[in-house]
Amino acid sequence: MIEISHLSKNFETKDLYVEALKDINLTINDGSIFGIIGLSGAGKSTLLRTLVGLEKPSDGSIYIDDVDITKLKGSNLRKYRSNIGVVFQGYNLLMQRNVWNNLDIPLRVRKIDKEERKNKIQEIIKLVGLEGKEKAYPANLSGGQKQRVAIARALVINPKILLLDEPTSALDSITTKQILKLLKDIHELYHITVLIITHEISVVSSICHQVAVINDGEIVEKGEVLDIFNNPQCDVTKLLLGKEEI
Amino acid sequence: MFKQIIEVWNNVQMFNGIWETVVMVFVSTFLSFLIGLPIGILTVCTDKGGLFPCKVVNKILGFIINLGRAIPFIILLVALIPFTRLIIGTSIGVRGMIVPLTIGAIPFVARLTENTFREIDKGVIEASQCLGLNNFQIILKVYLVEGFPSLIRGISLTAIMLVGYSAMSGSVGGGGLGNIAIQYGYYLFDRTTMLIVVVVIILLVGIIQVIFEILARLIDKK
Ligand SMILES: Nc1ncnc2c1ncn2[C@@H]1O[C@H](COP(=O)(O)OP(=O)(O)O)[C@@H](O)[C@H]1O
Ligand SMILES: [Mg+2]
Repeated sequence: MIEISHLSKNFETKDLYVEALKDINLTINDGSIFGIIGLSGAGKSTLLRTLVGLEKPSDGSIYIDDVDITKLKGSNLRKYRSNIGVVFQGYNLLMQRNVWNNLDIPLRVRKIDKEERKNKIQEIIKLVGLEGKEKAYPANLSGGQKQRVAIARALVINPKILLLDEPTSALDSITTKQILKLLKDIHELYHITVLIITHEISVVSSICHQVAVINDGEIVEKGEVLDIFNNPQCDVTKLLLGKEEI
Repeated sequence: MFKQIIEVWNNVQMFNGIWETVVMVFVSTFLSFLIGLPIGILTVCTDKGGLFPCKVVNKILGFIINLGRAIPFIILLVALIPFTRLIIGTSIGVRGMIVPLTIGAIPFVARLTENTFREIDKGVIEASQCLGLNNFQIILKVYLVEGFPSLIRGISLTAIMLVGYSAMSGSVGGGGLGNIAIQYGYYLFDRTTMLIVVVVIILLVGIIQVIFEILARLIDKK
């Protein structure tokens, strides 16, 4: 279970003060597919970055299995991250390594032996549908294929939690459907917790169980997807659902 | 004309001059990367938002690099003579030039390395951290690998700069093509020899450029 309580994050620069996250409270149950939806600039990426320890919160805590992960540093942070698969907005693949080696790196640094690495990579490549692309370099792949590599790289370490930041926002509608189908398959196969950050309502409606709506750094609404969709309370939710004019 | 060139060529021992220049440039390029690369890496890592930020170290390194780059090479060349004598035993010839050439190129290499690594997408570094790589592994497996094609081009830039510096070193008794140019072109007013040396240097620079560009393109997968 992921328990986010009273989480806030302020960015302070010389001439700027941004409250990117304001008193966020969320509980994400193990094994669920949880969506966080909001407009651009709402604080979604900041929330994800805080969840993986790339940002330290200004206040609040994130408990995962009784550990406040916002306090972790160094090797403890790395140990926590070894259970987390992250797919970033913009793929962030290693451009000078081919698909196979992109997947091999996280296994290598875990000192997993050669045979096991090979089996695992083959399994994941098959799962995400990248057979035949093992030797290709990211620069020669389509957006959808790059996203598959990014997902494969996150999965190759057998994570307990999979975090995805706008996994479909750079993709066309058909590729989006394929990626969402893939995520559903992954969830069915491994029963891991999946947290998807998005600004597209279709992503939430097609695969998420629960959803939280974030606006201006605040969670304005949360609950079961069907409940929220049938009876939206906030203007932003209505806006995202297309039930209200801008 | 052709005969004349060959005559000059043999007279001034051009092959020997080329060889000496190549040796000086090769060795000092190698040594300046050996020292400049880690300095550049350290500068990037200690910078704000780097792998292990440390303002003091970062400022000191930045100051040294800037200072090094501000000193004109010809002055460095003269100023380093006692130091070179101390550690090499001589301050002239090919051996004597290795020290000033290397020291002259270190700040350049450090800055070059710094720029190369800054170009690498910050998101790729963060993704690598999330994949469980420690700082050492990120330097080795991400910075150096992702920046490799760029570094190859940097080696070319450094070597070309050092061809120029090594020619300059002829004025204080360095060997190689610079020495031939000074001896024949400056002291003996031998225009033909001077011209041939200039052409040889231009060719040398061209060859370095072409070889490294081909290499960089072969390696770069982006
Ligand atoms: N490193 C940072 N420094 C200053 N402001 C930031 C930083 N990161 C994000 N912000 C600000 O925080 C707010 C939320 O950003 P972000 O989490 O990226 O939104 P989203 O992912 O929902 O589009 C924005 O106003 C953004 O400008
Ligand atoms: Mg974002």
